[in-house]
Amino acid sequence: MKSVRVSFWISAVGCFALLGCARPSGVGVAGRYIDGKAELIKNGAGDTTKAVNLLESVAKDDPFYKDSLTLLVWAYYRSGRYRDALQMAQRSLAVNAKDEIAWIAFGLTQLRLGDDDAGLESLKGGITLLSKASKPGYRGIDFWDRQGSVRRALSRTAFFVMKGVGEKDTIIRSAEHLLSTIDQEEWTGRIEQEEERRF
Amino acid sequence: MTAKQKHWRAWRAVTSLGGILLLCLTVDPAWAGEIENQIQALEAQQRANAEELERLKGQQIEMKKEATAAAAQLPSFDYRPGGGLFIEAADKSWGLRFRGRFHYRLLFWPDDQAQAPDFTQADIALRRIRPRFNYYWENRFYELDIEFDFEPDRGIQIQHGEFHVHFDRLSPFLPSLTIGPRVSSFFNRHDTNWSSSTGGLFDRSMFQDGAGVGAGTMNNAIGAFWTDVPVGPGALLFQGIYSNQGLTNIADQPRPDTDKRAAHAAFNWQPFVRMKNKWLEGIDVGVGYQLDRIHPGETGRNFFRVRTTERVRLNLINVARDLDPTSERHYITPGFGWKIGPYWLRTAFGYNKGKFETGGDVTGWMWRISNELFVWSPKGLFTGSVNTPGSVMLFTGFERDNYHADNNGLLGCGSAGGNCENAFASNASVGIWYFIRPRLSVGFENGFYHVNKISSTGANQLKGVNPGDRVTFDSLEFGIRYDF
Repeated sequence: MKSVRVSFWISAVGCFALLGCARPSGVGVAGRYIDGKAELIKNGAGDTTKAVNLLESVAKDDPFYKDSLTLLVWAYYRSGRYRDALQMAQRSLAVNAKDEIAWIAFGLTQLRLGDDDAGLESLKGGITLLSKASKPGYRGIDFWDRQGSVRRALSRTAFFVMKGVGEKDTIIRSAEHLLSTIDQEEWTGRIEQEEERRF
Repeated sequence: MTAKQKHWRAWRAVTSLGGILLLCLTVDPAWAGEIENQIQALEAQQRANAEELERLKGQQIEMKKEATAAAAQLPSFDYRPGGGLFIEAADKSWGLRFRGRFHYRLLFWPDDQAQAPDFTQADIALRRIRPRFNYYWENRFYELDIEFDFEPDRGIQIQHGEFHVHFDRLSPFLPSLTIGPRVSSFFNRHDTNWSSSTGGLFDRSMFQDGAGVGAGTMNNAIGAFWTDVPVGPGALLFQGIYSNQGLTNIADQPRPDTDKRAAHAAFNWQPFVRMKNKWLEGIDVGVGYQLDRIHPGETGRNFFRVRTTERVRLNLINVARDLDPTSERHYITPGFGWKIGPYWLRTAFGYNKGKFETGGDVTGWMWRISNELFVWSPKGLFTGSVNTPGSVMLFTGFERDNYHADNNGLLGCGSAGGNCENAFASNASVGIWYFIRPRLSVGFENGFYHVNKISSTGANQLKGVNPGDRVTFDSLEFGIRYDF
């Protein structure tokens, strides 16, 4: 009886302590990757400095872990560190030359640094790769892009890229919106997929 | 003209010219000065305008930044057809998801064999109305998942009630922990028909339904779930659940008053899902196991039976005896699936064993196979999905259930109204779904039933049928189903 009472109070205190706590930090390389990515998904409300620090540590410990290098490019870009983003993008593409997100982030960085022609070419390549990759199963989501938001953002970006460097500002905004839309679609698609498995 | 006149004319011309010149020289400086002043004034105004323009541009940029920052703080509203409504804080500190399910059926018995009052033709029957909401916070580290089931008698039950702590948000190798009055449990992807809004067959297997497993068996339970754990080129899903009371009526949950526990474990493995090989990535295999102790207040025979799958529930095979308080039940179901393009092959097997202290054991087993094929969509032949409006899906299914009960333990299936020891039933079905919009579909299913020795309960529901008879009949069912 006494042991039951003790275990009850331990459980109760543990539950309240857990509920009162903010979410703990991720564990290991995988956990830091998840935390870094979480900051980038937060639609401009995330801490990009924290994302950079976390992803730099992931890249240092395991540069081949998932798409950590590409995420780091995006984190540098969002922090305004375009030179670092350029360098990291070149590393990321050396690891995987068909990384569509890396090509788009590379193109954006080049545009920001004034290398307009090269930036447009990089964007065109990334858009072409993404249009082939963005289909059911992309990023492990069975029903990817259920409402077509990625497809619309991709079409819009491609349209302005084809118009040329005269639409530079619009191209930059569209491509940034495209990458944000992909992140948001992955976040929402994963929630849907997991919850649909609950019978 | 004389010389004097010529001289006078010349002098006048020179004088005129000189006067004009003198006039220009005296007038020009004054006029030039005015012009100069005007130019200077214009230049000053231009400089002022430029400065004003620069100031306004700066203000505009500041306002844009403030608007962007403000917009970044606003919650987002996102409606996803078939996925419900998402409302989320920009920083993902909280989120809400509202969705639901709506299924209705129209039933016919083409052979007109039914004689029981609830077997009329053209019955419009509710299958499910289930609103559901998820509330999550701290970047979805905590989650509450509640689903209500609106019953035909206007009652409301909890279909799902779970609180999750997603430790998998800290590492993919950690589980999420779950506790609740009704915790989700799966067995394999192909026995439960997974999501009945995405599968072809109208309902889950006769065997699983007759065993009373699936939603509602893990009452007052706690569990751990591993989802999408990377294993080589594949991914693994695993769950383990412990239930306070196993198979019992949900009305008894506040005070279970029983030591009859239940345990559940299941995994599903997609060995090649990350391989980007269309022939291999759609393979999955899984198995689920559940151990139940039968609650003394339950009618134990209700967990060892075979009924038709539509909600009218014609009884085909029943167990003759109730379970004693020491009874336990073992339920195992492996499954295998292969999905490629528009085609999905789904197979499942089942084993349901009741170990009774008296009267001997009851054992049932089944196998089931279904084919689902999207034959057409606006994208062309052999294309389509449950999310593509205009898609057409054809499906077929076959299931065979066998039951054995020692000491003539099956009810009323013997000759002359007695019991028997063995019986089997099967169901072959074929049908079609048309997807009007994502996850909204209409269709029909034609089911062909066969039972070699019908139970006395079932015989009483049919015309001119005696217990133990070999019976075949078919059903025709129209359905509308919507995930909103």
